[in-house]
Amino acid sequence: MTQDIFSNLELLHDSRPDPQTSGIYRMVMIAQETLQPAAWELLAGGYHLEDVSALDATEGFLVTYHFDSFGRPAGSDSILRMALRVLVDHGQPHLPSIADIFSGAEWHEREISDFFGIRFDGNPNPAALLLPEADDSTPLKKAPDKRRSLKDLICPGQVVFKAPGVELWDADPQPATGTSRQPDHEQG
Amino acid sequence: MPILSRPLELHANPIMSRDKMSTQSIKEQISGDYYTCRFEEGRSEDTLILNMGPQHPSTHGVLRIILELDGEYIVRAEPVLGYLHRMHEAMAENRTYLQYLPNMGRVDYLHALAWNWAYVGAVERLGGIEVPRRAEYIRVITCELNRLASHLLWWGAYLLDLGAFTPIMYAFDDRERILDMIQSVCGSRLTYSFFRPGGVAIDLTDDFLRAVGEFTHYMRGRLPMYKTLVTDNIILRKRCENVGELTLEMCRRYGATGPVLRGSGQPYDVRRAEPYGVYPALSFSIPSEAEGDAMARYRVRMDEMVQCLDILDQAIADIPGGPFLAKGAPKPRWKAPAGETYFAVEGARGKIGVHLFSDGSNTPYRCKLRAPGFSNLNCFAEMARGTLLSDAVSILGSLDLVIPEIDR
Repeated sequence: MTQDIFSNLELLHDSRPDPQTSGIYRMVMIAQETLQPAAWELLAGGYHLEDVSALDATEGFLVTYHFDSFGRPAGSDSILRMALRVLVDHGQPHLPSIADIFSGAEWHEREISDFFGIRFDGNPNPAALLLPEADDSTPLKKAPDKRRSLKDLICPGQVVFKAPGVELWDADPQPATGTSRQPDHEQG
Repeated sequence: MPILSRPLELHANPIMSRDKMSTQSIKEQISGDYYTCRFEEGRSEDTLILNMGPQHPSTHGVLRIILELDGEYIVRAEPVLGYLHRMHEAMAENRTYLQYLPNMGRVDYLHALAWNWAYVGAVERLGGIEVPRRAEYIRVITCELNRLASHLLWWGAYLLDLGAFTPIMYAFDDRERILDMIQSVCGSRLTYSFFRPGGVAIDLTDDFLRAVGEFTHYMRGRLPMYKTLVTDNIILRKRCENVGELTLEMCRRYGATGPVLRGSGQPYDVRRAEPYGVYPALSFSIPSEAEGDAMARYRVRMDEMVQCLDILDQAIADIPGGPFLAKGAPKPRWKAPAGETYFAVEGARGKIGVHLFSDGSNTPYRCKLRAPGFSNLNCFAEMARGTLLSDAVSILGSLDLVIPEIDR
């Protein structure tokens, strides 16, 4: 077993979703302060930034950084797509920018600012990207009653590590097979 | 009716006044819109700010680039996006899974079937839907024909940008044959929504397969002519070689994929890296060039056209019989199981990704579209720094931009 790319960092949650159903090979939840150090590790580890997407859920905005590699970097075993996730509070929509580490993040971050109103501190050019400059409509932000819980939306798969105090996905620990994908959260 | 609903009072704009302007005098000199004003802040002495686009013919579609010029050299460049923004991602949240499919043909109209595939692939992965083998082959055939059409259009338009008028006539002649074939199955010539979760909309006939066979034979005769007449042309080479050099390290930082990445020496192709459909059963190679300049990207696309023909020949020989749509294919009011999924395919411009979240209802909870052109264009500012203005046109063309997919 080669050394894990995040061995020097404090993670909140580390799991292996089923790639057959989710397309994601590893999911890592981190705190905001860990975002930049984690990005540095990934840059050194041969990963590239595939995209950044945000999601509006009950618990807050979930910002997902997808990393992938052109070859198979050392120490990754068979991991292709890694989802690095940070939870952002609805009341405090701020995140540190990683645009000085992965230059491509600049536009992704500006896009998320347009659509969700999350501010990325340290973005070199925090102007509107796709929406008009004076537009603050944040079209992908959901009304509070329309938001769903992350527990219903994301299946973490096989949990490798969970920091104490992390309550997400606590209620239903997933079996290692990751087959529980029945629509058991029907919305009326 | 006045066209502008409000007068352009730039300095009264609340966002403008919030930004830090260096001195009062600069503020008074600046004219232009929000983006130009922001761009002017970093301007050095004795340079000229030039807006290229959004109506410039070489910024295909409506891309705008603000350039800071020192003589004929580019000091700084900043693409301005959003002129074709349609908020496809919000549309996903108020449509059913099947109703959203036509949007895919409109995101990238040049390789619409790859976007079709990325989306239906994500839906299939979410719902655990099996696709019949014949449908997989139909997808490969139509998608590769579409890729060929996309590359041909790029080739013609790129050479047009560089001042060669004739090649686009040849390219459109070939592309027309492809469009006629695709039209006979998809019904439309540009914005296809032919794939369905669980298969495709209609079956291919034997006549169609025969026509594809005749076309690949015809096309194999055309490509060598393009090589001797155009690719080996000294004027083209002077416009492309050592222009817009992109290193692999830059590709990694920006997330560039597709021919742009393969032109920088990395043979990365989603069809091989993360296989989908029946691509593992087909033999084809992934062209790559180490130089990283515009010519390398040009060569990669020309070689890819040959690979497309190889794939087509194999697919029409191997296509099995059977159903073209799975029995359990989603009906219009189909509800997806709750969960998330990411599905990536290789489009003509690079990796197309669809990230879907489902809450168990019949509309996606969130749909994120990863457009390859978005990341590829992102490299432009760094690539263009220090080059001639005329080379910027060559660099932009070599990136093969489709603005609607970048703006989404």
